[in-house]
Amino acid sequence: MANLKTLAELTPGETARVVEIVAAPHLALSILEIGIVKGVNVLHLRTAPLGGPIQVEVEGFLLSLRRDEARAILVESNGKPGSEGWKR
Amino acid sequence: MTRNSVRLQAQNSGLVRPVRRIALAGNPNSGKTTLFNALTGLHQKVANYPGVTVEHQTGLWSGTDCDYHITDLPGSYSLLPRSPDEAIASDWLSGCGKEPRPDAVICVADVTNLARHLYLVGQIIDLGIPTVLALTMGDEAERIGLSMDTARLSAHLSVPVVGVIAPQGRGLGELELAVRGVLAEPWETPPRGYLLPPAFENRLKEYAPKAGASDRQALFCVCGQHTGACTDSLEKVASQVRSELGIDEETARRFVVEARFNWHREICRDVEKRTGTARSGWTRRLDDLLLNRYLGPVFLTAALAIMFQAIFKWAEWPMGAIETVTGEWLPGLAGRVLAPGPLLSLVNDGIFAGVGSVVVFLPQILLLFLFLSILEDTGYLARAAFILDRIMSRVGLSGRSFIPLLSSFACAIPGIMAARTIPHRRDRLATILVAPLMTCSARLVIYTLLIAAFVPDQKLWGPFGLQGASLLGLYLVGIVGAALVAAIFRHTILRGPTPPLLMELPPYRRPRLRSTVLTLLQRAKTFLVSAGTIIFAASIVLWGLSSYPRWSHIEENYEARRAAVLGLMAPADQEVEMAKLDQEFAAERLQHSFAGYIGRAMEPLIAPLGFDWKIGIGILGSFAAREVFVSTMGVVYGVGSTDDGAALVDKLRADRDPATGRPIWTPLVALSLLIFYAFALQCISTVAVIKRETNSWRWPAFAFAYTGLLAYGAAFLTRQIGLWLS
Repeated sequence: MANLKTLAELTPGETARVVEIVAAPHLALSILEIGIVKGVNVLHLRTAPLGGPIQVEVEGFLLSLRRDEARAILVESNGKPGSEGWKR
Repeated sequence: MTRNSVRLQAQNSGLVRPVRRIALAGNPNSGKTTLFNALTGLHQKVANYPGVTVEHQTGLWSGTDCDYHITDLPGSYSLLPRSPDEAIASDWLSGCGKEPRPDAVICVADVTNLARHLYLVGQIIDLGIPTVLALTMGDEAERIGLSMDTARLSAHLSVPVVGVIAPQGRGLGELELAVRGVLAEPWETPPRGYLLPPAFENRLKEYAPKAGASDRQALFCVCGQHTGACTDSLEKVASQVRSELGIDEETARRFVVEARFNWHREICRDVEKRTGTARSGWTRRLDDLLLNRYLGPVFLTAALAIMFQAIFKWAEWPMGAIETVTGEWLPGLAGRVLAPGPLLSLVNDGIFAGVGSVVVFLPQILLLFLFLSILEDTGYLARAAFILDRIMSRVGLSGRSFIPLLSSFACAIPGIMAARTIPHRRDRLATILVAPLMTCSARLVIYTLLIAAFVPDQKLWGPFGLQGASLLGLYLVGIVGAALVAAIFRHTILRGPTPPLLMELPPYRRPRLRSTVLTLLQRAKTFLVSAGTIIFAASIVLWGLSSYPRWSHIEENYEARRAAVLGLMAPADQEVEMAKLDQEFAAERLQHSFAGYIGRAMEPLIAPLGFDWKIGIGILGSFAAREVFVSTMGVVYGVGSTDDGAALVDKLRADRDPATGRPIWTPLVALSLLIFYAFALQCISTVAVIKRETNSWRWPAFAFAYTGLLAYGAAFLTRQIGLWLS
C-alpha cells in the first residue's frame, strides 16, 4: 500500500484502484452511486482544458468530476499504463 | 388518425383490447428514448446529454393481443433521487406519485456499460415490480468485440433479458413476448442477490420476521427508503438494527450501494466475453483532440463562432424569399382582391406587415435549433460543460448549468425546464433566474433588424464581418450579464457551498437525422403557431391603435396639399414631393392615433434612454413577447403596404424628428435599445414557466423586476457614456 493517494493527485495516464471514499455521507453516496466503489479501476485521463474538473475512465465509462470530489476518493496507484499491464 | 382514436373506436364498437401500463426506466444515455420511439412511433427528442428527458412522455405500443400504455421516465442513475428530475422516476416506480404503480417496468441498460447500468436495474427489481431487462447498443458491442450471455444474465437476475437494437427494430417482438410473460403470472420478487457484511445480514434475518416483513423490506426501512411498506413495527426494528450496528441511514445506504456494485461486477465477469481491444477507443481518441489543453478551447470557440455566423449568413437567402412573399406577393394579391380602404389597410399594413416581419426569422431559429440539437446528440454538449465548468464555478454555477443556459439561447423556456437536471436547489434557482438574460431567438429577431439597419456591412477577417461580430458582442453582453448576476445571487440571496459535479461524458455518437428533423419540425410548428396567434392578434390590435381615430382635418389638409402638388408642380418633381408628403401624412396620423397618445404618455419615462414615442409603442407591445417589437415597428412604419415596398430597415434609417429634422434612429439610440432588450425579461411565457418550475410567484416576480431595472439602468448608462464620448 505504498502508493496511496487521492484521485486528484494522479497524473494523466496514471491508473489506480479505488481503496476508500472519505467524504461526508451525502457526497460519498453520490460518488458511490455513479459507480466509483471500492476495488474499481480508474484511469486519470486529463484535466479540463481551462483547468478545473478532471476526466477519468471508470470501468469503461467516462466521467468528469471536480478536484474537491476527487480528493474524497482514496486510491492505490498502479503507475502508468504499459508498465503494470493495464489494458487499454 | 392516431392510435388513440383507433383504440377509442375499438372500445365503442365493443372490441375492447386490454391496456396495460408499462414504465420505461433507465440511465441517461441508455438508449431508452430511442427504444420508446421505436415502440410507440410517438417521437420525442433523443439526446446524448445526461437527463435531457425532462418531463415524462407517454405513448401507445400495440401488442399482438393487448395494448401497452408506455411512460418514458426521465433518465436516472438511481432511485435515491438527487434532482427533481430523478425524483419523478423514483416516485413513479414506487407508486408514491399521483399515479398508481405501473403493471410492469422495462429497464433499459447499455450492454457496453452493463456493470453500472445494472445498479438502477437492481434497485427497480428490489421494488418487487414485474421487470424485463432490455439490453441496448448491441451493435456497438459487436463493433468493440463484446459478447453477452443473456440467458446467464437472466438467470443471475431472475428477470427476463432481451437484446434490442431499437433503431433497426430488432428484438422488439421478443421484448413483447417477455413483457407478456411477466404480466401473465403473479410476480415473484427475485431473491436478493447481493450480500451485506455478515453482522448486517444476521441482524436483518433476526429482526425482519419479528415485524412480519421480508429482510428486503426491513432493509428498505433501515436505509430510510419509505416505499409504503414501512409499518410502525418495522420502523422500530429498523432503528434497532441501526443502533446495534452503530450506523445511520446514509451509512446503511453506503453498504447497500457497495454490495450491489460488487455483485453486479461479479455477474459481469461471468456473462461478458471480450475479444476486442478498446471499449471507448474512438471516443477517447476524439477526446484527445477535442479536450486537448490548447485545441479544446479553440474547437469550442470555433464551434460557437460557426454557429453564430451561420445564423446570420446562411439564413439570408430563405429570409429574402419569405420577405418577398409576405412583403410583395401577398400584399399585391390582396390589393387585387380587395378594394382600397380600411380592410385592405388592415390586411396589408396590419396582418402581413406584422406577422410577416416575424415569420421572416424562422430560418434563423431553425438553424439555431439545428446546431443545438447536433451538439446535444453527438455528445459534445457535455464536453462543453466539462470545459466551461471552471469558468461557471467562478460565478457560483456548475458545468451542469451550461446546458440550460445554452438552451436558453434558443428559448429561455426549454432552458428553464432543463434546469431540473441540476441537483442542487440554489444552483438551480440561480440558473433559472439568469437564464432569461441569455440571448434567446426572440431577441435575435430584434438584434438582426437593428444591426442590419445601423451596423455597416464591412468585412473583418475572412468570412467574418462586422455585423456578425456585433451580434456575437450582444451575445457576450448577455453572457457577461448573466455571469455577474449569478455571482451576485450566489453570494447574497442564494448563498451556499458549491455542490459537487459528477457528470457522465457520454460516448460520441452520430446524430440521428430522423430525430433532428422531427425536433426542427416541432420547433417550426411552435414558432409558427405563436406567430399565428399571439403576434397575429397583437398585430391587429396595434394596427387599430395606430390607425384610429382618423382626424378629418389631417386628411383634408393632406388632400389639399396633394392636389396642390399634382396640379402645380412639374411632373418630374411630383414623385419626390409626393413621397415626402406621404411620409409626413403617415407620421402625423400616427402621432394623433391611440398608439401615439400612449407612446407620448410614456415618453418622459423613456426619454432619458433616448427613445421616442414610436419606440415606446414597440416596447409596450413587446411585453407580450419580444419579437412583437419588430412586428410593431413593421406596423408603425407601414412596411408591407402596396404603394411602398421599401424594407423596414430603410424606413428606420429615413425617419426624422419632424421638429428638428435630425434622424430619430441614431446608432446610439439603436445601441441603447439593443442593450435594453439584452436584459429585459419581456416574455409572458418565460414568466409563466418560472412560476411553474419554482412553484411560487415570488421568483418570477423577482426575475421580472430585477431584469427590468437592469435593462433600464444599462440602457441609460449606454446613452450617457455614448453622449459623453461624442
